[in-house]
Amino acid sequence: MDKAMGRRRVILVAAGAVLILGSAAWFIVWLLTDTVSHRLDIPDYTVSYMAVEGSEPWKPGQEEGQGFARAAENDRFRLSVHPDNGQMKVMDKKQGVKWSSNPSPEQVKTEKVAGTLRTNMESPFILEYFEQSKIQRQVMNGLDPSVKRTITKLEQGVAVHYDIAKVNLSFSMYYVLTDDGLEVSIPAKSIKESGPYRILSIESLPFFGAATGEESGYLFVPDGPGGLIHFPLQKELVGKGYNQEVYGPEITNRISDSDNSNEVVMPVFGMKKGDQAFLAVISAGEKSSIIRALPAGIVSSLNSVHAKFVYRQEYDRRLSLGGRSIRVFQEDPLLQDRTVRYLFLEKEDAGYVGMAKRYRQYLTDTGQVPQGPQPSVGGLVPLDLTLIGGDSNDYGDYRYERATTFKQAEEIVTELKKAGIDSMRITYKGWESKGTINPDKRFSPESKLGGGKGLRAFVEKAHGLGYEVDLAVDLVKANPTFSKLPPKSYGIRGVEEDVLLRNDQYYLNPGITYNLAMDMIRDAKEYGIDGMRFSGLGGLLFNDYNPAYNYTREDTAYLYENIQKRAQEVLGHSSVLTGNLYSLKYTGEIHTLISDPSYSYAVDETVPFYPIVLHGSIPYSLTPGNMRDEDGREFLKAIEYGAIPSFVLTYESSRSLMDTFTWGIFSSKFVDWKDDVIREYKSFNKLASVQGEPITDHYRRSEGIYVTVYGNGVSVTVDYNRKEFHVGKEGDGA
Amino acid sequence: MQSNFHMRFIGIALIVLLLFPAAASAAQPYDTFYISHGTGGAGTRTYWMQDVYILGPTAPLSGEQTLNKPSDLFIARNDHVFIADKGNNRIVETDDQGRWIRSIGDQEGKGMLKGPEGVFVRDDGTVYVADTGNQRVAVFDEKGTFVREYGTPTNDLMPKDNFFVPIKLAVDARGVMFVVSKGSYQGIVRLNPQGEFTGFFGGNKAAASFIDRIKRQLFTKEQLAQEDLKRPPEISNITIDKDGFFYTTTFGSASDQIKKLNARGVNRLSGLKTVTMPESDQIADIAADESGFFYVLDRKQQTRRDGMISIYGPGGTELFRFGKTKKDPQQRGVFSYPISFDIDSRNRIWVLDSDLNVMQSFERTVFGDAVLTAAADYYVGDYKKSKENWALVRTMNELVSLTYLGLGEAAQKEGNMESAMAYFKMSFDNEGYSEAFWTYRMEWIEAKFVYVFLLAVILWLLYRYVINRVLKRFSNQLPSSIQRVTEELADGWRTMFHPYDGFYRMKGKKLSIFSLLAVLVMVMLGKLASLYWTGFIFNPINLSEIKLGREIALFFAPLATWVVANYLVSTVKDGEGRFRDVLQASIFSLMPYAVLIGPIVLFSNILVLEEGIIVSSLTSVMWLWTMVLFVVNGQVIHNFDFMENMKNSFITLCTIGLIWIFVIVSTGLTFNVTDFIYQLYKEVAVLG
Repeated sequence: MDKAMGRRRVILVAAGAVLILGSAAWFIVWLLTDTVSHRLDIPDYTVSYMAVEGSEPWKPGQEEGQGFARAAENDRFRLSVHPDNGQMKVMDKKQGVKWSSNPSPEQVKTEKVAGTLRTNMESPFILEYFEQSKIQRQVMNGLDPSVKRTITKLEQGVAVHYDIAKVNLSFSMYYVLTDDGLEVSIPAKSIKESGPYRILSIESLPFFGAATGEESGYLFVPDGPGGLIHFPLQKELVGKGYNQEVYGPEITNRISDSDNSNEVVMPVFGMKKGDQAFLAVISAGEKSSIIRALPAGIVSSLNSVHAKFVYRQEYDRRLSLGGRSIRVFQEDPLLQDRTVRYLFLEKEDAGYVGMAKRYRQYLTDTGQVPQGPQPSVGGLVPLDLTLIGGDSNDYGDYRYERATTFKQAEEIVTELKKAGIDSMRITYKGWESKGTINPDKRFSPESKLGGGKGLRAFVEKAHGLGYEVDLAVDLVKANPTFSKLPPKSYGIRGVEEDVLLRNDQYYLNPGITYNLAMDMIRDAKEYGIDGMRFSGLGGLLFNDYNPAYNYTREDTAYLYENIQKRAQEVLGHSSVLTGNLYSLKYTGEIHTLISDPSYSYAVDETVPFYPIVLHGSIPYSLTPGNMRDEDGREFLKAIEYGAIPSFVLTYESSRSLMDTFTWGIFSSKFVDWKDDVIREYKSFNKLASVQGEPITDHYRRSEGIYVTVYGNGVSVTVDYNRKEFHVGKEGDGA
Repeated sequence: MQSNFHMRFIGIALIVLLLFPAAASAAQPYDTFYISHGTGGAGTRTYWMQDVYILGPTAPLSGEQTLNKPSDLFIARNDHVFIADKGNNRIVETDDQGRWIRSIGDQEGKGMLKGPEGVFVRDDGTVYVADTGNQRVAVFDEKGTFVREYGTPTNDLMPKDNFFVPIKLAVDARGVMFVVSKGSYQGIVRLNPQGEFTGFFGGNKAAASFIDRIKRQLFTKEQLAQEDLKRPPEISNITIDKDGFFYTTTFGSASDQIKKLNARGVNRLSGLKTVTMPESDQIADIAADESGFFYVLDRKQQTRRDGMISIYGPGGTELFRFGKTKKDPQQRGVFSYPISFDIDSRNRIWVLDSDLNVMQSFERTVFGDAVLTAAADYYVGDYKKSKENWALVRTMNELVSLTYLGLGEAAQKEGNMESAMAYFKMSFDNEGYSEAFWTYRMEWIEAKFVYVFLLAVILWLLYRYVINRVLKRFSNQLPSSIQRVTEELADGWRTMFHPYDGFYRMKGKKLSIFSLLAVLVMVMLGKLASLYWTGFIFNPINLSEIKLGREIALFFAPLATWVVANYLVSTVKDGEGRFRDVLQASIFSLMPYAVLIGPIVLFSNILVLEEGIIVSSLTSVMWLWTMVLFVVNGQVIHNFDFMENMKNSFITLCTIGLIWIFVIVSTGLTFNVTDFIYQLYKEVAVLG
């Protein structure tokens, strides 16, 4: 009896000890677990708002006809405003050209539409709003009888204040003349909502410069590398015009269905009409804007292009888990100043090339794109070579499949050197342990590739051959099944503050991405790495509705920019994919620049607007040579667009990757592609003389023959019919 | 083998993949997928890859030329496109670029069309129109002049209640018309060149459900008459290919929606090889190219890894899919209501959308041309000719598994068996592999037989005179514990052949735990060997996809449940055996597995598919033997007589079943609870 009792006691004590020890061990592990800090070593992004000014009432100046009165004037332009409807006109004094916010009354009379569609044409804005607790979008414009206009004076213009009594909403539109054009703003502080109505969006100057089609011309939209919508219309109208969110739809809304349309990479649009043109840059609030182009026949007989500012997102509210959902509107508005800068161009500059050149100047002036050419080794066009280390199998055992070990990579670069490739930048992908599903996003080279030692040896080898080595890493997306970073604290959240999961992935809070990147950059430096390619930084923006941060797309872009800044400071180089405009300030190269249109029914022609903006400042590559759909045409396009050669290769067969998370690499085996790599490198180097030169002209000589002219007078003629290209001095002929 | 289920499971799991490929360049507004078919249970998978078809020109028809609710499209010999422009009551002819040439049937007079829904052009340029609104077939010559019409056939053969409302039609080389008539569930109306009805063609069968069959047995005639008549689904479209085969589609039906009929109306497609997804019931049209490939236009809204157009090999194997339909499309190449399409002599596809009133072309890429040409040669069996193209395909794309089949066949023809085997292995084709291996094995034996024989003799002699003696001497000096294990294992070996005797001696004895472990380890190793070392011919799967833990658990679970169930049952039935006895005997009953799995694995590596009977019969023997041992051990350790034991074994089996049902049911019942807890945990801990 006693003995049994004793034994039981011993068991109890032992169990207790185990329990205590166990929890202590768990606690210690928990303490030691490497958590990522939320604290940033840079100041938070601060929003500065435009001052709401102009208390002094405006006295209409000199009569300008049709009820317009002069409002402001500078050396080049004269601004006049219509006091009764808020319409506005800008006159280029030297050219005698008028750009007006709305079509003339005579023109409106000929229109066939009625109701709001008709009054929209005479309004400086179109307002979308909703009544709280309802889900219908409603539209109103400045001609509604309940609208009260107050015009006050600004230093170089006027502020038109709209009070819409019917819906208890009010806001101001500022028209300010600048040296080279006009600035139209809606200051955040001027927006007032009282009562049950809330603003959804405001389209500013929807019919600015609207063209009737009498004079031929085109609308310019940032579709792919640049898209033109010609007028008068040549073909039958299909679709609803061009309607694209700048930098893509907001993923936290959960309603963006993924079509293969290429998103807008630059907040800019324009119009050419006869020998006049304007380029419009959305210079504030662009990250939550939509660019709309409406060819004749959609809402009117006019061709117009404008910006639509989004204040509240529409999103899907889940009613049950995985079940039904309804569309609702966000509660809190995104209060940001919204500004469009209209820059006027004329004569030979009135065209997409002139617009691109003007935009390039604007971007370098405002410091958004680095100034001056990037140095290149020996004046050569560098090869952008991406090597894929491998990735984890997506089936069965999630085993890491090798595609290129560090040793094999050494072999590849040695052979390329022997073959005469002197300038090359190698980016290693899938190098981190477990590849894409790397659980902690720390610097940990996969042991199956050769581990840290192997990586170091490869870097030394490459340096010895005169090459640079970058690492590619994704610090934006993570897989919740494998990641050690808990989505709840590190993942971004949707409007309803629940973690956003998309295609079985979650997105890291930009602050976390920043801190992970800082560590990654520091560790990469130890290994002699020359740069980083952070995927996601140049192609994806989102809000984070986690109440602890409430990051907007502006905050995200700011943090991403600082990651690149640090990478450039510490390592010397940073490159991005896609190349959204906000990511360019500290970018040394854009990998896979957007080069294909979205094939929108509205867009007639694709032009290299973006390449003209970038060439000479930032090198870029198009689709890698081994991943093209149509080899010949896409190669010539890369030549026409002034790109650098690019390949994505593996040492082993690409079949090693086919069932991994890095799928879709359909052909990448080095031995199969070696000759093509060398041939393309040599072909691209026929353009070595234009490296660092800006593109000064681009035109179509005849069907299928395009000419690109560079700052030093060298012209590149690409003949798609005969599948060849020619480099010469301008005027040589081809 | 057991992997079949496993692989099918994976095939489905694949649908839930990421959306964008690693090197994303969204060149076309749609995705292209290759459908990989492996034999022998390697499953079907879709792989994203470069396009086989890219956007070509959009037909520049505007103003007066604009289409209005077009309904059918046909490409004539000269690559001119004919469109049944239903809303404009005319046929439109364009050139190969979609540029307007003329309209047909919009002049006042006998040739005036009314809502035509179908068009067909014979090689001589004669245009046949399914003039739906006028309930006739109208014929025009190649200049567009009206020639004649065919109204409702008047001869007696045509059922009286049948209305002749032509919507689609095809005309064969002899001028026989095959007319799809609205509401004609009996099949396609066949008219001879004189316009006489000569019978229905290719009708579908009514799908009789199980309930229907019961009703037919039980109901009276009156009751049956009151039931809704089950009519077969109507054929909705017809296409004729260069060899005179007819392809028919049936809209709104999820089975037999695509048929390839010969002249006698017999379906030549016995089951299409497509992805294991719910098949579409919205097949709108079929087109056939010069090489016998056929293209299927699917109108349903696509989800991931889906496509609007599928390309099938001549035998009905789906190879590629691409294109996209969605609501309110804004991009070229994305359709809202694709209604008809056709392919011209240069393999350009024209698609007609009756909602957008758009005609859009797709052109083959260099890659598409290479892979489809190679596949065409492969399918007719011209492996030599296809070799060159496969080599080209391979440099552009390493993922198309058909390449390796083609290269494998070519290598086999050339007598290069080793590389043929390697290729077949890559494409998971165990049949091809087996064939190549047969030759390889024969050559190998011819070359090496003498050496192998000598080696075997030497090994045997070595064993007989050296190793055996050393072992014997050595075993005498072993510590007693190990000696005990070896003795017990030797007993186990004898038990296999003298089970009554063996189990009797085992009964009541406390066997060494190491002996039991040794048997389990042998069984375990055997299982591992069978998983990983079974020859490719008998186990054509990707080894990295084996989920080891699951396999092992599923293997040992029956044994564990048997031990428990048998002990429980025999305790109730007054068996003598204690738990230890049951456990020991059960483990030793696995001896045949441990012994025979080795030879089975070995044979699977040296035999070909045709000799598979040896592997399978050996496997059967192994399992039967094991079962017999289980039965016998029950009789011996519980001291039952034969009948008692049979009863006991049967009840044990029932108990195992019960235990498993209980486990499954309780997991099922608690699934909602556990899932709720899991979701709650996820909400709280992970997603917030």
